[in-house]
Amino acid sequence: MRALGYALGLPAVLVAAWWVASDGSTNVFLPPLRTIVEAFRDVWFSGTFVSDVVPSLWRLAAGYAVALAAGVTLGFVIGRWAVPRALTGPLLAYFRVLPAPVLIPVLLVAVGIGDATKLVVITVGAVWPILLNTADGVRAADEVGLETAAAYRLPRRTRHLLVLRGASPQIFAGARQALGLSIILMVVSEMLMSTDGLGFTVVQFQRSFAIPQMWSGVLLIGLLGFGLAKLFELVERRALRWHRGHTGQLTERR
Amino acid sequence: MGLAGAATAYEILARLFFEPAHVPPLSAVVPEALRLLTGERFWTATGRTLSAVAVGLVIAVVAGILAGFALGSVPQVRRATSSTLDFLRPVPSIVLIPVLVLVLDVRQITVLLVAVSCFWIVVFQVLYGLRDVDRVAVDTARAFRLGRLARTVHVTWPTVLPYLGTALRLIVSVALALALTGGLVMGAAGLGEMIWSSQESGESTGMYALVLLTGGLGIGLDQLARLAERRLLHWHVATRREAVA
Amino acid sequence: MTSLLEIAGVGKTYRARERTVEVLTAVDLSVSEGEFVALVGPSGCGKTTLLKIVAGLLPATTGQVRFDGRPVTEPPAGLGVVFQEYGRSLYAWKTVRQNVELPLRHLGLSRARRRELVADALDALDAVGLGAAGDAYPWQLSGGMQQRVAIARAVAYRPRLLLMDEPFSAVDAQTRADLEDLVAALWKRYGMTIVLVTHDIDEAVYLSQRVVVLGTGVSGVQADIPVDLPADREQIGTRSSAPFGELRTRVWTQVRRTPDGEPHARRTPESEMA
Repeated sequence: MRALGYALGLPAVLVAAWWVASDGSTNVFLPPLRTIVEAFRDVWFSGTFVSDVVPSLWRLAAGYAVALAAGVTLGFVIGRWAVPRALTGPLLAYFRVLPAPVLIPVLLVAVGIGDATKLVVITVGAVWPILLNTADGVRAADEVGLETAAAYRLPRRTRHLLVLRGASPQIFAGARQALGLSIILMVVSEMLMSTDGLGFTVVQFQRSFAIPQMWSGVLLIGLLGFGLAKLFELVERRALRWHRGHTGQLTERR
Repeated sequence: MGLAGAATAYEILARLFFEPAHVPPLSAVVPEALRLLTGERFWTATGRTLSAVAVGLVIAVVAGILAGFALGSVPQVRRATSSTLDFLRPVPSIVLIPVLVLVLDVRQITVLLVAVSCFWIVVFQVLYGLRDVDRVAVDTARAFRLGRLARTVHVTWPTVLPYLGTALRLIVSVALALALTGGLVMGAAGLGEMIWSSQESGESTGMYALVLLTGGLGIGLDQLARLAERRLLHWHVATRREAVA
Repeated sequence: MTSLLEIAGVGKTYRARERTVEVLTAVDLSVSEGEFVALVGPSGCGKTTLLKIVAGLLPATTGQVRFDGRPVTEPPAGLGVVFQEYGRSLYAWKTVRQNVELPLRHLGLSRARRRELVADALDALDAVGLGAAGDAYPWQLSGGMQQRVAIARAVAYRPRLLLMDEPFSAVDAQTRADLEDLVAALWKRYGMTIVLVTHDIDEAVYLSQRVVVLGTGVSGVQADIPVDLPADREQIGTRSSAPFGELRTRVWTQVRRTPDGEPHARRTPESEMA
């Protein structure tokens, strides 16, 4: 109960303060929160949801899923064997520091404008943190665990799975980073080269001076970022319970 | 060796599967990059981007350290604010662009974007660091009757410092990415804007050359951040171990 | 008795940069079916290296290991292992039961037989009060309990040869005595062959039928001392008996006699790189 109070107290105060302070605001750029909430309802609980939110979410989900699959696979190969690691070393060092947003114009030129481009932007931008973290995690696979698996003659496939599972804390760390990056890339690519989607709609509202509607879009993107981060955290907590226990971050013992 | 292999692979793929206008071969991109390096335009743009990065970083580090200590030092404040911080952190700072465009100019917005994104990273690293302060070390200091200020200087600050080192490494690349985004999305003068305008005017070779150089800039900044981190933490165990290996 | 394990002229040399480091030279040893052999020697004599070569985890530079008549080039069938680092040898994301069952899953056993083997192995743990720990995760258990799980995993596998590398070095003295007696009881019950690497001379004498002293440098096997103590041993009585004291002194003298302090032989590749 106390914890809930602590968790909800400040947000409630802040929202209330915003509501009160902005109520009756005549500044065009800072409309009353009441107006923003009304705009939120009018804009997003309507056809716009299907025409703009759904495409955004679809691109995000597809781009992120491909990045996840490709990142884990390539990261595993690079982390596990020395030859691919040596071959890709300099390339990885380069892409690790190349800021992801500059990939947008490159892909625009290379692939052209289209739904596929936005998807590729998300994938190509988000794949690096996953790939690099997976490679690090796989490479640091515990030697004793590997020797045990070898001594008991576990098949190759099982041993690979053990390595991957052992690397899962790093894989999750990379995937979390990639999720935030995916949302940013989704919004930016829609702002730059789209005819629908959240980023596009918000920019349209801003250009046509539909300020409350624009604010509601900003709010929605914020909520989306928060919601997805929480969802991810939930999955991660479940999947990595053993890791917290193993490293002594979980106090429960028998 | 790997570098040569990657360059060759790119060259072959580019020549086989793509038009030069879409994916120009490296043999065209590299000379173009060299030409850019000798021209004034590239350096002006780089200077602008780097100054946005630098100003944003300074704001983020100062504000982040102050806010982190303010929030993390008092348990009640920390508990009361943690849910709000958790909510605000994953909100992508670029959502602010449409809002800010109405009131600020694009250069100010770019600096602000850099500052806001990096601010969060610094705040959270300081909070992690404060959580990590050794209870025994604090008790020892209290037993020796060290005052609050002395405890902060001798116990708390050295614990937080490694976390700030990590933050430094993280924020440098984030700052560069956002400074470029400012140029791409809003046309704030600098490298991002230069890349976008060469894309729009169809100078794909020039654009690829710029992207290549941007990566080089990223490597340079990254090395600088690592150097600064090592300087900052020369006494730290992890650094010492690295130095031996 | 026939010879199950035949080690002939086995040596191991590491090449680190320009220097070569000889960690093992010309070891000859033969172990019979059902025997309990303890391998001791000063630190740096290559005991662990030898164990890994026997397990097929490391290739030998010279010589050959034969298990059941066949040369060992990879881990042979019928081999169980228990390492010192139980925390790393057990998979933290699997429960105790899943850890024990994992090696059995690829033996082509029937489901019923597999269950039986796991239950049996966990029973062996139960006897010492592990209770319903089968569904616990390794990290929820104490160090001694974790090592017990690693031993149970090896036993459930029904190995012909069980290799143990310093299995009790990381637990406290009381637990150590318990684990020693557990291993002794399991050896009698299942009649497997055990090779135990340890730096503890008392432990070697207390548990084994034969203590092999490995020398440093070029000496190979320094001494091979049969332990003619009665089969039924117990911690206090056996350890305080006169024959035990004599044996321990004999082993001690052999270990001390090895040419100690030869820098080239005492250096492991890890310390070379650090």
